[in-house]
Amino acid sequence: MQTLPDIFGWFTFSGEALADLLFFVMAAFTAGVSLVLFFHWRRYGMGGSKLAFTELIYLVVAVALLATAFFALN
Amino acid sequence: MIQFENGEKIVKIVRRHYFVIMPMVFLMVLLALAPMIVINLLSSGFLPLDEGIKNMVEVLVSKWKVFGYSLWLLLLWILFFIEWTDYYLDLWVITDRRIVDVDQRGFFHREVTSFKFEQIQDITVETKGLVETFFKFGTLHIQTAGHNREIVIRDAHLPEDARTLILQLSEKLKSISIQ
Repeated sequence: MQTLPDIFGWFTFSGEALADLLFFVMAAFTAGVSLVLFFHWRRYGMGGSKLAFTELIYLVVAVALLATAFFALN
Repeated sequence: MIQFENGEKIVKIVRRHYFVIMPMVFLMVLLALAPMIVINLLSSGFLPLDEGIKNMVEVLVSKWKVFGYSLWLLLLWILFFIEWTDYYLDLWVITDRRIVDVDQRGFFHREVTSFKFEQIQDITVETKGLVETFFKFGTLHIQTAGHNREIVIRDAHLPEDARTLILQLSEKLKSISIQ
């Protein structure tokens, strides 16, 4: 198994484990920020079809990038 | 959320000109291209690097290129929308009775000021420089009586139109109140 250098002196991570962790952190970050963004857009965004379209574009691209990262991981 | 009075109608929503977010868009594009530029620099031999580092870069790129780049783009995508939300939620709502100034500073700092047309004493439009003149945006200065201060709408799109509209609505309201 390929491991990264023991830079902290405590433990070593395999590249795969680090990638898994990174993916999990980014997925959680995306979910959290997206919730806050959607809350703001819905509550303060004054509505409209343009905003609804922007929401859709944001979500589609974010999910596509996460899916790409996920499939590249496996 | 802005609370409107009974029967109050939104006449116009004024936002900052999209030009003000252009530097951020260019920065995001540059950051999106940055990994490719850095990897090309590292692998081209342009920088005098140790052979071990070169090999490590090659292994990382060959194995984690798609994974790393998609997460990097995702991070930029989210950062762009955080900035865009700040831009988009910063607005001025002109209704048939008053002006509501919404100042969004980050996610959790929001200031909402509203003032009635009767309070308006003077409106000045300031368009500075070539860019503002060419792209038709500028700063609106509204002197109010009640607030005893100046309300500034920066980088407003078509500020002359907004000024004319505010003056028209103000005159209309005055003539109604005289009758």
